[in-house]
Amino acid sequence: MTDTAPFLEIIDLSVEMKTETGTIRVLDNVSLQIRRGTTLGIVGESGCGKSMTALAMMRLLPPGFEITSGQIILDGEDITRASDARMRALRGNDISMIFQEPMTSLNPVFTVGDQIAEAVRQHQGLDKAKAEQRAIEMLKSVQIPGAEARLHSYPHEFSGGMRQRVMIAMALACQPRLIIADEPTTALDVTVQAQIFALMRELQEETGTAIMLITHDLGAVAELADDVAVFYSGWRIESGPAASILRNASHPYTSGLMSCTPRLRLGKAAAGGAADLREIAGMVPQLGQMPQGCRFAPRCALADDHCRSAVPPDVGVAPAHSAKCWKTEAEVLA
Amino acid sequence: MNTQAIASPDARADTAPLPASKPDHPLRETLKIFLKNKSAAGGLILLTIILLGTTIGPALYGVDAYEMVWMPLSPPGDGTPLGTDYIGRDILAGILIGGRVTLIVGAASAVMTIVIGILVGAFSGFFGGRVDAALMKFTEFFQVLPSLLLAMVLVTIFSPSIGTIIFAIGIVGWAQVARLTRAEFLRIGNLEYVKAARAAGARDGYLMFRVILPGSLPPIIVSSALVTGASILFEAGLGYLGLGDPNTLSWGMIIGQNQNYLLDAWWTVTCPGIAIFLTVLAISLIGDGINDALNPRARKRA
Repeated sequence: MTDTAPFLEIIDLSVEMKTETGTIRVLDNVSLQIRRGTTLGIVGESGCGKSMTALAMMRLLPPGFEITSGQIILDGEDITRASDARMRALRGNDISMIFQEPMTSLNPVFTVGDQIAEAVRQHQGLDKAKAEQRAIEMLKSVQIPGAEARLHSYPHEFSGGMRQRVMIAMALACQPRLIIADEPTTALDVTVQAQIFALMRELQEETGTAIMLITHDLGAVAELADDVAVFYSGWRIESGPAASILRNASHPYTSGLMSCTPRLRLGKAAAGGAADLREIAGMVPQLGQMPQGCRFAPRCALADDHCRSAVPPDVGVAPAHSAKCWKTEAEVLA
Repeated sequence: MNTQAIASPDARADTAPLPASKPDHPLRETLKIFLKNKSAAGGLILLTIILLGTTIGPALYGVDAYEMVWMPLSPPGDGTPLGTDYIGRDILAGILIGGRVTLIVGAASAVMTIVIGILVGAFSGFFGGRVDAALMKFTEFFQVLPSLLLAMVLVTIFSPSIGTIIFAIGIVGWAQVARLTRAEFLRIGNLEYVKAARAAGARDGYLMFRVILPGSLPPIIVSSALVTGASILFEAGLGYLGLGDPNTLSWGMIIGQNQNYLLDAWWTVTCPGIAIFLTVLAISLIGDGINDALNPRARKRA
């Protein structure tokens, strides 16, 4: 069911923040594509612009932030130009969002059934009984046992994993075309994480919805994503098919991230010596104090004077796989 | 094999065991806790007696509160249960009928105070920025005005009737409710579930009154009880100063009219005073009880 044409396309998106001392670019000419029915993983450190991209897509940027250039095209419709009323209709119905903290993402004063049913009633105009029916179906589809009884439970009566299931049920209730999952499993136990991923994959196969998975966990990306975009300091520095990136990371930052990821090694592998877990030296540059050339240059082992003075271009390294780096071609050729 | 077991969408691992009985609706649980609280239940009984006394009491007692029925300033027990006032009107009848105005004015102006306060606070806390700055300046303006003086001026300008008195009391008391509501909106407005509701396409009005307001109600309900008590005292104060509706008796008015005879006929002032005291006490006890019932930290788990 995968369609090769991108169904969501972000073209040269820039987001700026106005401060007392001037404007700061938090997203700089970011381009992304998501194909129908596939998952795009967005990876990067805190503050690199992952969540900003998601909020820009929902047009829910915090006060002071503004989309200054670029387009976000969902199925041929430019969201950056949509009216507020149109955005409200899109939110929840066509694009929905799953948040990081399942413990606080549900309203404590209403039952989970009410909360799921409300979204359906608002967007699809179903009456109360039908909306409740739909809520039961959704709870069943996210494998909550005893859905009929749990419909009348309050969020505090659920565990973290169960609440994230409810959040997923809410996000899916209106059969959106795109789900933005902002670190959906960061707050959960590892075993529960695996269950949530399995559930998301299963539901995606059933409904054909596209998923944008925001995470800093490369394991999650390997598990779920078809494509990956790596963010650093408001730049999208590498993007391509997940397999290609995980196997053959071209940007020094991406390969640095990979070697930061701990691997579980048992038996003979463990006997081979301590895992070479390396860190990326240095700190993410402060917003507003960006280096002149490549933003990663101050932390990059390969950086030379050229890197420090000129902004690197997007260089194709493999089919559909590109990296924003001066050194990429040399690395690949070597 | 091991990984398969972890990755399978098996829900058992994170399913909390279902509670044996279906948990109560939070409101019912709150009510249970409230009724177990002895002083709160006492307050509720007291208030019920007062309400019954003022509604069906006059008809049961059958004495006209506006007629001279006995010798002026005769003490309790001497022909009338609570004595008579300076023109020979029955004090008990006056208290029974006067409670109506006091309670209606107290309740209506409390409702007005709370509605204005919630609206101003909600808009202020929800929209922030310039709206917030403007509304809070406006609120501060009302907060620094001497409230009794303002109410007196308002009642004097617009002839004293029940409507103007309700308006005057309502307009001077809403500032603190507005501040409380604003604070709650600021706190809850930043919680994830509000963001989630917004991301689900909720309109501003829905966010304000269906998503944020229910969560911010507990402290507002508690303060409403205090506001109601304060409004009743306020009404009594205005009545005492002779600014009540001249066509109907109220507790404050009985006290005001008889204050010159306080030393000769204590009952004329003391009895309606006790009525005011008991009413405000009952409401305060209820407010305390609601506070304890709504505040999970004050609950004792068995």
